[in-house]
Amino acid sequence: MSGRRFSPSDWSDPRDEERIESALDDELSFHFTRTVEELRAAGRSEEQARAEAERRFGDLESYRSELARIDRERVASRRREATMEILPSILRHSLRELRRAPGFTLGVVLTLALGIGANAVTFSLVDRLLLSGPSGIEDAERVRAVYVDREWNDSRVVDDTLAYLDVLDLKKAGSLAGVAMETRTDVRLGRGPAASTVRAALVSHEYFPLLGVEPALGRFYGPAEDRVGGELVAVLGHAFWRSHHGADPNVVGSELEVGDRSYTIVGVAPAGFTGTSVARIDLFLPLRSAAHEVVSGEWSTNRGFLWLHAVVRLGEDVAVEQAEAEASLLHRQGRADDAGYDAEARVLLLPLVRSSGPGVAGEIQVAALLAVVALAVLLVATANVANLLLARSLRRRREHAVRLALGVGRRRLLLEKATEGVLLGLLGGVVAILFAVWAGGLLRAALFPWVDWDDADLLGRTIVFVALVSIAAGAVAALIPAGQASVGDLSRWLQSGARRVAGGRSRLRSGLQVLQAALSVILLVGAGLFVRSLDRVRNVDVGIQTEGLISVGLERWDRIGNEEGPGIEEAERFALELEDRLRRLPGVAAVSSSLGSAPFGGAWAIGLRVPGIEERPRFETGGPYVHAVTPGYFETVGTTILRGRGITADDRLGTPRVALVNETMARVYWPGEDPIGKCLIVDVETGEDAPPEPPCSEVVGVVENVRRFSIFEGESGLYYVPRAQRQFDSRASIGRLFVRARDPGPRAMAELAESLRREIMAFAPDLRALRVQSLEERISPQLRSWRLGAALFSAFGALALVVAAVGLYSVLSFEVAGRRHEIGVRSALGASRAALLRQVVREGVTVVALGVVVGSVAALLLAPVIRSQLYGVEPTDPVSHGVVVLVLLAVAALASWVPARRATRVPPTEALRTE
Amino acid sequence: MGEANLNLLQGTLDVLVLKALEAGPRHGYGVAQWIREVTDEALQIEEGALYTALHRMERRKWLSASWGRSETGRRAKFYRLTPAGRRQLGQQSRLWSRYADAVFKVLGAGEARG
Repeated sequence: MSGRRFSPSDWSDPRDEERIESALDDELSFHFTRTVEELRAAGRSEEQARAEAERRFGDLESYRSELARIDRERVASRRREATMEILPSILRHSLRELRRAPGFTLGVVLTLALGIGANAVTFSLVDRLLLSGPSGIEDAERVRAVYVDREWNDSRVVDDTLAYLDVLDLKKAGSLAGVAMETRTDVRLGRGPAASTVRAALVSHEYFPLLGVEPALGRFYGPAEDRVGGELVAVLGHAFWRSHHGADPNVVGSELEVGDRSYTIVGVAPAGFTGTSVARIDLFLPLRSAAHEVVSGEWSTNRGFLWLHAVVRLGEDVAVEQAEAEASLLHRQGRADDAGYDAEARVLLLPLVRSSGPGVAGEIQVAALLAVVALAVLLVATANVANLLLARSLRRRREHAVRLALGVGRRRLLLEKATEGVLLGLLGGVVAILFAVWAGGLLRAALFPWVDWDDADLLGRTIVFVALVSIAAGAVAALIPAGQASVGDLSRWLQSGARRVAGGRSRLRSGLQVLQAALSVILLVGAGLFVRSLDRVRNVDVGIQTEGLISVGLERWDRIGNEEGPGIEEAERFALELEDRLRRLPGVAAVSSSLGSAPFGGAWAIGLRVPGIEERPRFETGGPYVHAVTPGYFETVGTTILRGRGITADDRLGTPRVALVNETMARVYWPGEDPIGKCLIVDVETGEDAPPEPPCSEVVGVVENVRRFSIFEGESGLYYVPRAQRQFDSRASIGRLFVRARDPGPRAMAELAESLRREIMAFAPDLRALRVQSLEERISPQLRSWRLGAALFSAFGALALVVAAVGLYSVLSFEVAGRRHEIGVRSALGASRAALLRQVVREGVTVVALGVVVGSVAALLLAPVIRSQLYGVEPTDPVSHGVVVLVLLAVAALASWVPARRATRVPPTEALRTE
Repeated sequence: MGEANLNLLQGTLDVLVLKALEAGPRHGYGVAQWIREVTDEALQIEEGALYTALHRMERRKWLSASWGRSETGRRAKFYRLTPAGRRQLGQQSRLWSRYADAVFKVLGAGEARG
């Protein structure tokens, strides 16, 4: 028996089987021997006696196997009982062990806490975003979002924006139990300086019953209110009700100023209800009566108004494919008269919760990725703890051997190990929960501000998850060394005295270190790729200098029914005066405005004719879009004028009309020609009663391309005319002001934004809406998924690296300490300290280097998985991979050098004396 | 314990085996021999079934077993009643007596009428 290793199969000892069999054989052979003896004594022959004995016993084969089965059950149940009996004493023993080495315990608990905490944090993200999905929906599996897959302009488009009539078409589908529509928008709440922006969902009255929700208070609205011209009512989101109305139970019936109208509150949605997505919703408004908050004009009759999302519930026992086929047919029928429309368009009914495919935010995909990354961190941490426990159990071999010799069962030792591991894991789990509550809150607020995290069950689910993970991690970490440590070799250990035998490096330990290093490489390469993507995205040339630029959006008059509004004169005078006032504020370098379109502010197209070009060219993103800008506009926003001149104060009413075009427009309209001097006829109207065409606006310059909304959008045609020349009807809009700050620092920018707000409100206290925002702020949501990836991959990668480095350090320390004797002897024999140092460091670095090789290969193979999350960086980016390799080797060298130096400093005499 | 629900034959065997051990430990062969003697070989019980009963009751902790030397000096597995086994024997004997009484009454009544 000596020398046998512990193995997990000890839980059901294979020797039990042998014992049962041999005992049974003994018992039965005794029986037969006696029976035969007795029958022989009674005068039977040997042969007869045997035959009689067998007859008396019955079917030996089947009885024997039945007996063995009963015995196995007996042994197993005795084992279970024995385990239950010793459990309390094992628990006490384990607690004593943990207290005996508080430093060790703390280190292990913290290491596990980091690994488990990373998982707890990502779990809470993944759970909300990918697992549980939007809350409160009944039978959510059967609720589907409607997407249309169609060909448009020679490319495939899959999106979920539909016209009102498209949604009505779907209502005819017999395979659908319900069809509802929604659109989300920011609306202004209140007026003037107290005005705030809140998230509203315009949803049709079918929406609530379709999703199967009941109001927390009051009622939802019905078809009587949800019709054009219907009464304006509102249902409050639960969180909004608590934050804005202090959870007032008497809120139903009171009025709410939304936009320019007053809505009657009729109910409050249930807690955590966010409709079909997890994004926060403050108000639910009836779609048909409140449509004016989003669109104006023929939204209900014109199929060109794509502004709605449809949500459907599949009928009982209807397969998705069947419903999709019927919906596709209806969709094509409805669009039959639409000449340019894809006659093969297909309707897709996609589940609400999905991690990939159309309409999934980049950061959700990154969150899914992070769940995997967190698991890798936990693996590194577990490997580390296993290594530490292994080192300790080697140190305690003698103690174990003695206890075994004293008759403590192997099973009991194993149980002690497992219990200790689970205890460590659970302690780590408790710390992890605290960490997750703290860090998770920060992370969610910073990276997913649009998501409603108001989910009471989330903490409960996280705790259950953490408990399971903790137990698993602790048990695995404890049992790996238990499976390895040869604790049974009594004679050898009792003879070896106090001296520890170095015994060479354990293969398991090296294996764990290779694994750690490899995982660290993978995580850090991922971090590197995300960091570089983020960097690339930040440096995308969007055509304006976003740093130090503030955008001011303001509304004074209702543009929709502007017949009663002020004349264009008044509006323009107001805009120019405001610009002047702001220009005089301290900290302001320049102010200009743009009317119509504005970068990251809006795009507006009007009638445009270019003599000599009959068919209007098509642009990737539509347009061309018009901007009416004030003098110095290009200098203010930082758009480069490539050729010709910009807009000056001399371009005013009465001087010849001029215009500038962007590169793309110049190229598309006049390929290979000089655009300067060409003619644009701006604000052309077509039709019977069209007024005569305005005169030519002569192209006087070409500017670089500027993004309209998104950093990643395609090229658009843009042109610019002097605002003062009033080349088109501005409909009393004030446009968007751009303010260039003198100091682009974050503090100065915040102060400037505040003083702009104050100045504007003082000048025009009757403003309907005002939004002062730096361009960086406006763009930052578009950077979220990269920022999330870069931040968390870096954090997790660094975590893994630290844990792996600490692991390498502690294991080497232990090993070197165990070799003090050897080192002492060698240095007494004349080995130089430098040589010894080199040798130890080399050993440490070699193991890590092996891990780096494995990790690099794995990273090269895995990196393409995240290709779609990257920007401007190849998954095989040599810089990211190279830097990580160097960092890891450097860390390994440092982690080995410290203990090596300590060991080689010990004078040989002392090292030998410890014998 | 629901013992009354036990299959009659198995219950019978159990009570016989328990009774065989009432006087003291016996090995399996001894139990078989004892039953054969006291019943004058009236009951045809397969010895395999007897051993099954012994092992089953050992599992249920009505019997405990240990290895010892037989009267002929060989190593044998001896069974003895545990306190639980002794209680079981009491209960089952009473059950059996009542059952047998009832059967006798029925049979006696039949004879009286005939």
